Amino acid sequence: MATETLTVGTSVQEDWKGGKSPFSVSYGKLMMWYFLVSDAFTFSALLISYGTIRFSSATWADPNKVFNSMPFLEGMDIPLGFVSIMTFILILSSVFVVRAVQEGHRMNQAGVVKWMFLGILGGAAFLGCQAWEWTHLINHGTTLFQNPHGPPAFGQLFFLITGFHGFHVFSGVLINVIIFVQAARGVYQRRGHYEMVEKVGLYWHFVDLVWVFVFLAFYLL
Amino acid sequence: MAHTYDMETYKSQVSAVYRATVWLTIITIVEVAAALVWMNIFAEDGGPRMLLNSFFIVASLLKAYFIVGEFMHIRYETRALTITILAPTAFLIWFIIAFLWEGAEWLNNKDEGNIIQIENKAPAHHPAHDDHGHDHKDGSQH
Repeated sequence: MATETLTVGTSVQEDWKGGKSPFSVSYGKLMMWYFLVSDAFTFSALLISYGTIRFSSATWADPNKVFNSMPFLEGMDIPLGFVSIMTFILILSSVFVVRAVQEGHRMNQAGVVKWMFLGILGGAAFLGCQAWEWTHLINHGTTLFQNPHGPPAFGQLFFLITGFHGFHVFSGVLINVIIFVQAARGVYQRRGHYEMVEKVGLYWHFVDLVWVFVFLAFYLL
Repeated sequence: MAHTYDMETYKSQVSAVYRATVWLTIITIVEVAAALVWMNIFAEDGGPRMLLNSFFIVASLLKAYFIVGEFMHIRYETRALTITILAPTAFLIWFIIAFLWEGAEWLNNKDEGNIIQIENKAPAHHPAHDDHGHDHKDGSQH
């Protein structure tokens, strides 16, 4: 744990007298944090509008009945099975990117490249799973305008919110690929630090964080 | 900013991340297991959902703590930075309560013969509107 978090009083005031970064992070990392705060409010607005519409409906779709299919096991009733795998894949992908950040601190180029690659694989696997799930739902009648399991609003909100999250995952994978290529070409090694991996890592963990609440709203509650 | 870490710090941080991973996995498994067990025990009426939902929300917040604290490294940032990032989310408390309350009120209105629809129709029947003052629930306004 950083010792500066524990020192209070005069030293905190000294932090703000100029000449140094009081948050002791770089401009880029701070701005990434503030972007994520604003993005958190965007996702909160979407999920809370989901809650509002759900509270205003007399009936709602039962997630255990809507999400009960697995690829290759067509016709079997496995409630929440597939989405658990998706969740685990995204968590693992997040962990891989944390490992890449840690290797970056050690200036271990091979380690960064290896863990970024695994992180990208995880992100791509998650997107593949989501593509399968969307296709399955659409084929079984849940679209933007109808939903055999309950109010049509369920389908609309599901595709809007998981789509918005999926687009975050998609752009995250693209950005991770760029970082992966840069790291592999030795750009950060020459620069003397791997802070770009940290900044992109923050975004990637945020995508994982949002999934926790999408999972909560659509699959658990 | 270049960081120089000794081997000791590196090892402890790596194991902290793997510990968080194990916690995230366990919490997710317990959540899904709870959903499935509940589904089978209360197959008829769903049971006291409030209890289960509270558990889901607490478990999700715990997962959020591990992701933000450990993966996003905020446990190790300065106090001032942590506050500027986390304090704005306090607005969400109002946001959630106000909007869910409003949603429940819409449902109430629908159940009570949909007051919203009657008021929306009023301009179309304007001549008749004056004759039927009793349409208004609260006559004392006249």
